[in-house]
Amino acid sequence: MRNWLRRDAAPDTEPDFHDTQLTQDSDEPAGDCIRRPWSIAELQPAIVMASLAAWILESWTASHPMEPAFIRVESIALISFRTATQDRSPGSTRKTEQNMPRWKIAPMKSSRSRFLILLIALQASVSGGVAAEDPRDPAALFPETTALLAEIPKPAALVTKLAEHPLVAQLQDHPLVQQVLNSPQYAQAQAPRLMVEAQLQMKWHEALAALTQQYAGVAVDSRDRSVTVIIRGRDAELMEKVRASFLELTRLGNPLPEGENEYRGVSLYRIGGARAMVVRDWLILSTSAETGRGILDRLLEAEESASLSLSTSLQACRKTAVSSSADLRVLLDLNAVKQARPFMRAATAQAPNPLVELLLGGIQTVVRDADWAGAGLNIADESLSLSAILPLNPDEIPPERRWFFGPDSAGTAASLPQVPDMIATAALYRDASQMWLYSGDLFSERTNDQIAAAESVLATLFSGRDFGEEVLGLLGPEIRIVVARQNPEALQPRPTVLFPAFAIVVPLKDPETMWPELRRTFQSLLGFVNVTGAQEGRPQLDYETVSISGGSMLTSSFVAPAEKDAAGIVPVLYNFSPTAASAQGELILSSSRSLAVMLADALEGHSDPEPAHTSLSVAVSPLQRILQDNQPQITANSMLEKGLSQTEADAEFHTLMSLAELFQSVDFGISAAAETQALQARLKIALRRAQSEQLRESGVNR
Amino acid sequence: MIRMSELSPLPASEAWMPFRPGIDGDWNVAQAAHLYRRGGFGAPLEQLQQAVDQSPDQAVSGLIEAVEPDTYRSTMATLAHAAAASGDTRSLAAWWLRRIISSPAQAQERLVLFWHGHFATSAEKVTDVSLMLQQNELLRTHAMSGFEPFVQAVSQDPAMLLWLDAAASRKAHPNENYARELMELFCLGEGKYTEQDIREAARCFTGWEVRRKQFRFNRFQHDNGSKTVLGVTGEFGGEDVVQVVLQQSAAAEFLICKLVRYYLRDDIADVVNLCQPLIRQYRDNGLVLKPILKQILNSRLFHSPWCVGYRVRSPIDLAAGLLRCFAGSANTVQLSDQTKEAGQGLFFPPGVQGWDEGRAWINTSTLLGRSNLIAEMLADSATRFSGQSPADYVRDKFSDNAETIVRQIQDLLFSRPIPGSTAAQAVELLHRRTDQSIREALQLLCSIPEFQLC
Repeated sequence: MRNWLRRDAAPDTEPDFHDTQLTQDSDEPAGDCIRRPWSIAELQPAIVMASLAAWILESWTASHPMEPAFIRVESIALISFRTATQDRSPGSTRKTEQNMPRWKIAPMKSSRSRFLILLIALQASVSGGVAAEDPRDPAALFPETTALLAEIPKPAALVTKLAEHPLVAQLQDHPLVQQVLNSPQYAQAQAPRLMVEAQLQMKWHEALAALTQQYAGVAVDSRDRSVTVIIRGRDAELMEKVRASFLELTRLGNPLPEGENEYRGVSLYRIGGARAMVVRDWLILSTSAETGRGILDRLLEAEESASLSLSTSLQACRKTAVSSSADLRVLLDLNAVKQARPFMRAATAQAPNPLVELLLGGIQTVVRDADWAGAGLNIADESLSLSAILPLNPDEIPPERRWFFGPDSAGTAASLPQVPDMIATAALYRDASQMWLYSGDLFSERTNDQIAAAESVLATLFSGRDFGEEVLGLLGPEIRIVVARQNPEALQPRPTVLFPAFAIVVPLKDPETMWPELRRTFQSLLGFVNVTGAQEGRPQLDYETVSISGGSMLTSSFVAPAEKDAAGIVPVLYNFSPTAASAQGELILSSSRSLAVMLADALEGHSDPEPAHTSLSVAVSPLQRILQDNQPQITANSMLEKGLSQTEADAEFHTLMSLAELFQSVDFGISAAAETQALQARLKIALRRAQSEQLRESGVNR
Repeated sequence: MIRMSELSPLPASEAWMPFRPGIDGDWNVAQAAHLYRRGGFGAPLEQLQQAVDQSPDQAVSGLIEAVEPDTYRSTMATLAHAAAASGDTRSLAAWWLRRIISSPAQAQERLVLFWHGHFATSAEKVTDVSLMLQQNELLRTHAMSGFEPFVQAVSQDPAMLLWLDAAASRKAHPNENYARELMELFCLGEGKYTEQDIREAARCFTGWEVRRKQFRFNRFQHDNGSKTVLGVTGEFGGEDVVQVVLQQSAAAEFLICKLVRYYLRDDIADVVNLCQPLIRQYRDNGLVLKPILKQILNSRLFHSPWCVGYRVRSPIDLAAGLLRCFAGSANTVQLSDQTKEAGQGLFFPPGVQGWDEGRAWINTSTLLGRSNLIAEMLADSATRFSGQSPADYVRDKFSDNAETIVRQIQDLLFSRPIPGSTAAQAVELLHRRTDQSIREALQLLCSIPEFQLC
């Protein structure tokens, strides 16, 4: 006898499942086991046991009324068991003893559940590992009307990567996460997971990796917005176990009506609003019966007509580096989205306002013209990167949007001068002058009226010069913005609430002519601030012109109060010392004198432009420092807005700080590459390595 | 026409004598709750039980003499500083509401609120948050002390000077606002002065300015000439005229009657006669308030059924009262916005006369605001009773029996009996013991007319 129960479940004795193990032993060579099909004689003991159990169950339920759903589950389990034992295909294989799952059933209170587990276990043990050979691209199963496809090419590797990721380990050690993990609510939420783990005989992440070993994808259909999930697991045996576990978990509360619960011999189940089916090593869920049937047709018949594999968009997207190397990739059929979503069409038709146009105008054009968009997520130990790609044809960029990408779509931002404690930086290529001049084509009539009004004021301010041509036109398109922490000790008086300093740096096309003009305008603005400030009793700005490296600077600062405020509060305006400077042919407009000086110094050793069209960056450490500078205000807000005590608010602040400690920086970049005809965006979150890890590594290196 | 219900059941000679437990009434949790509701903003059950273990006199002394520990004062100072630094009056109002809810010195905070209505100054006009904070601290410092130094300090308070335009008073054009309010609203009351007295007093305050957020006496703009105010003549300055005003017999009468109406009920008929013993004592001890307050809160009249449950809760009483009784905390930024919507915005009194109090709190627009205030406070996740959600607190701290819970809440929160039908509904909801049902029960109880009175 090749299969037996080490401890029999007799009908009149209550088996103790605490240490029950269902094993399958074999004294045959492994190779023989793998290739030889099961015979009915071999399966007889299992069938006898299952029938016996079914008889006990039926007898027991006759005297113990149960909810109908539960009876159905067990009946299905029994039926499945019988079907599986009878329908074994000749090509199916049987696992070796080493590979066979060893059953260790968790203690269960309900004897009904015990029987169910037993039956499922029996079914699983006899069904064997069915490794389906299907070399097709799994995406070929989705319909060609798919608008969005998200897929994980190597799900098992991704699950393992996530489970072993340093960030996950650091988060698990974090007190806040520990608090959640130790909460009764978390323990309660773990019950289904533990049950699945017990049934599948593996940890959840192992189960997840096995369940999605070959493929995992989700798609949204543009016709009916139905959502379909396709998962290809390790083998048919596992998928069968999963199906059985799921039946136990959900108990099939809402069975499908007669006639809809089977299609081409495959059982269909209802999960919420979706239908599910397991076919060999495939698990398919769809919110649309029609889509589900189509997928099953393609799966059973190896048919590729009307399939997503015929989509040129998918093929084009998958060829890109963003998609091919990603741990998780997404394809969006923009044509389908534009047809399905009127607001998307409207959003890509006209610029909403000048600021949005300045930031995203060109991207809006590319999205409007593109057939598809792709995105990929890459997870590495040191960083998380999200990349997106859109096809870009420079010849199709209309004249009114060429200011965004520059001549031949080759405009690149200048590199950023490096100064201490930079919190956020932006380096952009934007020909603002061209945008201003094309405003009539870009904006609504109302916005153009406002621009005309603003132009009139600006012309007055700039001594009658045309703002678009003679002011913006004399500035280069390489715009850099820097936000940096201010040293509180250097601020006199030190403001009670500390703000970061910010500055904008932009090239001057004709510094000799433009700088004196801009300096006078800046001086006029400072005078205006002083006049309005005097009316409202605010301190006055004192200003002076000084020489700096590579140019000169007009700087100002608020006059310190003669007497200290009774409450010891120093107003926020002492954060500001408005400054304009010209250095190395660049114009610097800064909220702070010290930042302007540092930028001027940094411009001196300025390197060549980096090949990026747009890059934005946030550094976490200086951000943490400025939060610490303002800790009293932040904790006070928590106390007032959340009703926390001082201790609780301090603890919350330290939690925020320790969470920020996990991250190093966030970078966002856009590159327009004419040669690859693509517009690529990348968001990268750099992680800070744990101190323990760094120490460990340095020890190894030593 | 005087209604019988508005007449004190006790003559003035007996009304202010100490309350005698067992003779004048029971000294129990409900009576202690009345003391803490009126003298402060309410107290949790444990504190009421401690008060019942003492004599009424000891309980009143404990309430009045309570001081804030140094650590608490330091935390409040930090919070106030942060609120003022934000430049946002919402933050400052939230800070004060938090102090009202959490301060151990409840009698002091009750008086600060009284004085805020008395020396009403609004951030609507005085937009400098630090000046409003400065005035609030001034009210706290002088809350129970002598009235004369208090009025002298208020007269030089920058927020008050800006509020009543006294800062722009020049000898050529004396501004009469402050002089008028000093006599009419702060010290004497209507009809106790003439227009000539106001004009003369205004001359005394000329040259009182605000420079860099501080009081400054500008001797060049002060009228040094002779003035006659309330029948007294001299070359008075601002300090002198305050003294002259407070020496009037009407000064003690005006303030004591206002205090008695505030602490007992606002519709007292013949209040001047009723208050004569207190007025005499107030004058005799040099206009120092603390002994008078003690006498009021420990009096037979204060503890009589004529007084209990006859005041309309102000929006601050409504919000702070509920939280105090359950040792609660909340998002006070949101809560102070809601009390403002219900008619009582801290730092935003409606005018120079302060809030009208009494029945004026209830009208068609504020009624909805009051109901929303309770509902939103109970639904907000930031609202915690003794660190727990309201539902967990009720399950943990109160009886398992729904009827008993309603009885305990009756003693704790209500000065009038909860109607039978409401109690039955509340019992049914509490019996379910779910978060939602407990919240609904509290909301139901705090929305009925009986809860609007204290």
